[in-house]
Amino acid sequence: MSSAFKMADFSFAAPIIFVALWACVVLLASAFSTKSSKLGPLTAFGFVIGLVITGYFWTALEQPRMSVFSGMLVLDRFSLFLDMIFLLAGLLTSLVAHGYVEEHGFAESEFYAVIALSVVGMMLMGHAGDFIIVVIGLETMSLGVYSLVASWTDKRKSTEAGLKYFVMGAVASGFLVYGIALLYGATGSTRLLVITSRAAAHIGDPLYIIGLFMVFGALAFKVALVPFHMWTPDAYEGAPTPITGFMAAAVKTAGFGLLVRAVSTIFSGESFAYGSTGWINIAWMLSMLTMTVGNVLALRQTNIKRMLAYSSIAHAGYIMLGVIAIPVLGLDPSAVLLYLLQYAVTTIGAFGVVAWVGRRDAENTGLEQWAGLGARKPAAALAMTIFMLSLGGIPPTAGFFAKLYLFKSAMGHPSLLILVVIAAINSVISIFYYLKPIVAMYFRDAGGEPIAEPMRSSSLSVAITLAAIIVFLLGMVPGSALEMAIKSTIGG
Amino acid sequence: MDRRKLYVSLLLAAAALLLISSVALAQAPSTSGGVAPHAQFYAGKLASSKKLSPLAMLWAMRVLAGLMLVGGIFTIGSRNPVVAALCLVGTLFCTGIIFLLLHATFIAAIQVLVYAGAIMVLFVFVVMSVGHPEREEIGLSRGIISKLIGGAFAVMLLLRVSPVYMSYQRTVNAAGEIISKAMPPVSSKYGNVEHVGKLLFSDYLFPFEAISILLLVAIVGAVMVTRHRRRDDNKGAAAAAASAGEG
Repeated sequence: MSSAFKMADFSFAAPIIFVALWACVVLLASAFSTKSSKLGPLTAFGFVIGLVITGYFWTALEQPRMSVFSGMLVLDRFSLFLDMIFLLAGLLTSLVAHGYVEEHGFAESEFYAVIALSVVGMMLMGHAGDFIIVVIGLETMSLGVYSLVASWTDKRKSTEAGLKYFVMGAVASGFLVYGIALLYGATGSTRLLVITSRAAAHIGDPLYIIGLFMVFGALAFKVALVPFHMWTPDAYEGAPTPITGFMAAAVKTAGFGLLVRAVSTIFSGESFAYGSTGWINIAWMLSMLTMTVGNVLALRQTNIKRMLAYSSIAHAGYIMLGVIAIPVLGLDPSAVLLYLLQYAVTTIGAFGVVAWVGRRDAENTGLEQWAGLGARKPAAALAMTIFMLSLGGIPPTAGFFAKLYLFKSAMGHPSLLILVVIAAINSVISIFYYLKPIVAMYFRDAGGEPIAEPMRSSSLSVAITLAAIIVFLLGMVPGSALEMAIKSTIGG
Repeated sequence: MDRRKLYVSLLLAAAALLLISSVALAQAPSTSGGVAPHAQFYAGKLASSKKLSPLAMLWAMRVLAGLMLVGGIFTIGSRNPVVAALCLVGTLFCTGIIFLLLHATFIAAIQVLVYAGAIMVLFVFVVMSVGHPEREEIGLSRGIISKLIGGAFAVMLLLRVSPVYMSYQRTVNAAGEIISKAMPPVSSKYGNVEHVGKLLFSDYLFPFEAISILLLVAIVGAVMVTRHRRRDDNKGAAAAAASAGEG
């Protein structure tokens, strides 16, 4: 352990520190201004600056890996790429939330500051070089998201969802910390790289293996893999719609980012990956169960929010497939990163349209209420069509290319071939339910008076337009994004 | 039934108190370097029992862990929230003593002061201000299939965990000496205030700063969730106190 840190370390943590400070600015602005009407754009502006700073760091980083604050934080292109996904998700969410909050008039002015603070938590998770930072980051993110889910205090369902998510999440956090304690007990360190270097002495050590699986289980809860997914539909349905998108996109990305980091450090090593106590077998099963159960249950949903919740479970299964492929393919996270990026943008966009269609006292999340939307509000219907096609993986959208790249890179190993085939079958099944809203919007007439009619909000339409453009660009000209993802290697 | 549980929990707390004082007496002198005046006082009194033998430590740890488990079970099992809170006090005391056994005197003191002291007082305040709780059945009862699956997983986990216990057993030989498992030795200052403070402001500076963000989001989130507009103000305040205690 090097005992000293340098003042320069603070400048390397600039993206995180900036977002944290901006959250405080938003918090102060909400305290001093009487109207909360400008807070959404203010938060979004901060996220744009954060994106610029992070982008600069991404290009300017010279070494493959820097560790600052005596190894507490890791700076590599992988974590900076994750930061950009979090910031983009935060940007889109705060814009969508701005319109939604104005329409429904529910949230307190702290709403946006909490979004920014939970983004800080996610960035900490992405940069974590030590389990202490992992715990702090995860808790910062989770506490923020719990309260965001329950922020609609007049709505019973929102409070119930927040409480359920909080209780279940607290159990998961308990498992994480217990697992970390066992790993510490086995190796005598909480630093990820130190644990990794000492892991060879603990092959077959039950303490180490149980610790690993407890950490794994806690992360599986955060990303909603199947036996740990029970909270997802309720929490997603009860939460305010922009927050549902935020959870599906950013929280999932943070969980998978940490999982990839764990896979490339403490989980690495042949004996931990394969064999009777290897994590790959279990991850294989979880991935298969997740995509299948998510898709099959999504088929039966008539509420769009619930349907998208199950769809997010199914996507977690696909991403898990990419995570399994990482150690097999020599620690190349590009497929997972690209998939996470497109999934984050697409899913926030889709939930954004769901938020757009709702009005005060009527959220309009039932499929039947969307009938004939294509004729009345072609813009909303078109945006929803793009996002649904992308989620279903149909060209020329981002979802198609990312899925293709993910499946193709996973096929590099024969042991994953069966899983890839299952995933392909699943994506075919998923097209059925992704087409349901499209059919409802364009081919079904709204009998009687039109029910769903989009609200007017410039920030919301900006967010959805931005998301739709990104989804299109990632699908049509994926070259530069792909190149960026490939360059975003995990250092060390 | 409730009264019996109350007695048990009180007993637990008493036992924990007894143990914490006895172990504190035994442990305090053993940290050399930067010994506090009171520790020197005890060192003079108890020069003979300077150190616990590894075997004694193992048994102390087992007893304490058992007490913690019992306390934890009563915490979640008892219907009376006051009993649950008291059992939690016992559990936290036992945790404090385990920290003492590990020579982490500062953490032990903080554990008792902050958790068993401050936070538990908050808990009890909230319980008192909420009043008598409604006897509401929590929907935790599941079908026989879920119980069977859960039981099967529990047995599997126990089978996996038991080798850990056995391997731990093997770290202490018959003569009561620890057979080292390549554990790095710790410095003699380990666990005292000076050492903790130095670490906190060098290696652990960033986590120390990051914790403030965690606390900020906990407070802001709790305020946001519980601040109702105009009506229901009392309810909101009580819930805010509860979540502040947890955060």
